[in-house]
Amino acid sequence: MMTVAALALPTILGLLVISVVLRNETESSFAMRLSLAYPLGMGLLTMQMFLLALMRVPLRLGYVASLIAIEIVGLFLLIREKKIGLTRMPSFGLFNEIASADVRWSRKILVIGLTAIIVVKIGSIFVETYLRPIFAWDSFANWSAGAKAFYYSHSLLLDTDPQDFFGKGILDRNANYPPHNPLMQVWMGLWIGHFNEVLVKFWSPVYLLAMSVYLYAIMARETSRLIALSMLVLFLSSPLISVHAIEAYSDLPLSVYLLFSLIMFLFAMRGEHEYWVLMGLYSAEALFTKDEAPFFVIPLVLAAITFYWQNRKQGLVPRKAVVALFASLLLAAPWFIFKLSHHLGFGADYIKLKWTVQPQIAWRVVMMLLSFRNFNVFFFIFPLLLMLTWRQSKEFIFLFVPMLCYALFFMLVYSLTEFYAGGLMFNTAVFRNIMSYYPIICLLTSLLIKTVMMSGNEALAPKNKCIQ
Amino acid sequence: MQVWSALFPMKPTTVCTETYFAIRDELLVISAIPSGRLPLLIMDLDIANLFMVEPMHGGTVNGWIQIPLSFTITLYCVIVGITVLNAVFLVIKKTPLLKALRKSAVIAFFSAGFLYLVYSERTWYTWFEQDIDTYAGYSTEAKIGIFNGPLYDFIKVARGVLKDEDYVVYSADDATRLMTQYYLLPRRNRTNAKNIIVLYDKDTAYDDRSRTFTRGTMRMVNVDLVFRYDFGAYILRTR
Repeated sequence: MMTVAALALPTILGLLVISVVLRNETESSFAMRLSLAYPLGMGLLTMQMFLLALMRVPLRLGYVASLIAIEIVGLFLLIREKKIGLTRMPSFGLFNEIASADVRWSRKILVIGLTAIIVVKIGSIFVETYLRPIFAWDSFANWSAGAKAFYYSHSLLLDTDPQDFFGKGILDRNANYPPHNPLMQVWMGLWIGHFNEVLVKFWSPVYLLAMSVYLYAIMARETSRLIALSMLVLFLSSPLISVHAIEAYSDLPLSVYLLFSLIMFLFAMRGEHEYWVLMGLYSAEALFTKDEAPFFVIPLVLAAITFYWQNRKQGLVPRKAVVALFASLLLAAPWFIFKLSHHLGFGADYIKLKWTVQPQIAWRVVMMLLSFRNFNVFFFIFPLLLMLTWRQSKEFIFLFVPMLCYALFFMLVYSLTEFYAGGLMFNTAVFRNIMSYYPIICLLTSLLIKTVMMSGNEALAPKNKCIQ
Repeated sequence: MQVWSALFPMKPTTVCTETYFAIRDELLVISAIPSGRLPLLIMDLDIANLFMVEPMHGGTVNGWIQIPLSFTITLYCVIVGITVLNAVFLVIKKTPLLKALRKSAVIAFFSAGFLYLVYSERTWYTWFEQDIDTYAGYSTEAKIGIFNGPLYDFIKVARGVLKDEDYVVYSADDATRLMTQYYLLPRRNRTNAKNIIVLYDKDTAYDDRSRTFTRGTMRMVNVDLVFRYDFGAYILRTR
């Protein structure tokens, strides 16, 4: 019960923020808003826990939860005052399709079958999370080690000896890693009443659930429900994402934030200005989740600036929307100020930056991707479809370039630094880094399929506002 | 203490956890690849059994995920076969070549994707079943005990012995040392701590009679044995 409360409070906070930000938006369903709300609320929660700890407020349930409760009450009053629709009617499009007399039986059976596969898979991930205690090396050595130390000290260990500062020196903990993951575990532990090795990581499958719902909704909007369900089934068949969803790793939350920030950019480009703020918020939360995030967020912001610059004469993007984007990005500022002022550095402590040139490593990564080990056939089909649908819309290019920059950044790191050149961490690092943009690959593949559908049969193509 | 040893026969080999095995497997895979050679070697090529589809490697959810080359090649055959056949069919039906290729690639994607799905989900649900058999119905403490084996019994005793005090741990095995430190948190591993935990460290020795602890060139006298699990696993306290 306490675990449910720990997950519900940030979701409510996120939902209220989403309701305020998207007060004039009418297209997103309640399920979509709910799936946006959970990662947003979790990020806002841990950022505030971080600020509380910086102000030396003890990380106890009373202090943290009362702050969140005050915010929830405040937002609720604002929503009532401004007469903002708090909840939209739940959308039952999928169920309507199954119940509709106009839909063929074969299609109905397919939809029911695919939905069942998704429900059973996500359900099994939740059960598996409940079955296993923390089991992976990086959780022991780093994320949960830090969380446990913070939990028992009710602080971020800022007033200790230099060797213990911010949990440095605990096992293999890297003090320069952003504290989003450990603070989520602390939050769960505060509600449960002790550091329960099974339940403190229960936020992880909820990230997958939220991402799956939103990804499905977007893909269904862009293509069709049947294609979206099929894509989601294939997406969830990745064994790596399943394993990450049951463990206290940061790669899955990062992948959710990167995907959501990109989707927010997509809507923002389509003229829905309120999404600029959300793009900034999710980007800021990505920056607060893992050190790799800047290498996606910076190209994404540059793409946004380019879009603004190209469309400044048409007035597609109001200046206040761009200001809102940068203002919301500032949420990550306290973390970076803290990090720089205490010389915590970037990347893991044990990575010594020794330059080398090993282009064959890039080839090795490509071969690993083409072995279909972890990501179904996405990484073969995506470039194939990209080549076959050569002339892409500007919108697609704006979405594709940040992801490409991010992927190339990793390639450069692998090829130019000695640490990754075939060392112990190589296989793990390559696959988990790819996993952080795997959902984006899934989204972009669905957009390419949409292009194929549009070129194949204009009548079947979904009617979306699209920037050509 | 003798009773403890009899109940939980912990030997150096059984201290190794599932995590340890997973990392060791990874090391074996990496060490098997001569540097600079094509990574195709990762996927053990077996021409004779090319189409004998074996399950994903990795015995549990914690194993490193690898698929045999035979299955990778099967997927490529499906993609190429469906794309070509469907494209030919569409071209015969007067569809422009590029459009035919695009449609065929999408169909090939879903066909190969669903084949992969059947393959990978079979492995996932095998792991899932195993974990239900192993962990279902137990408390969190019991689950940790199952996961770690006898090491966790030692750690539980160590918690009681140490109370809130810090310790220094010596172990030849990285995984054992890491797990011990993790489960003993918030107690910390400190170089000069009064409590000494030894877990099958080949460089250390303790003499009961002279109450002397030695590790390499380091020699400490007046060291009390607080708890002995077995010959290689014990806790000492300096005065």
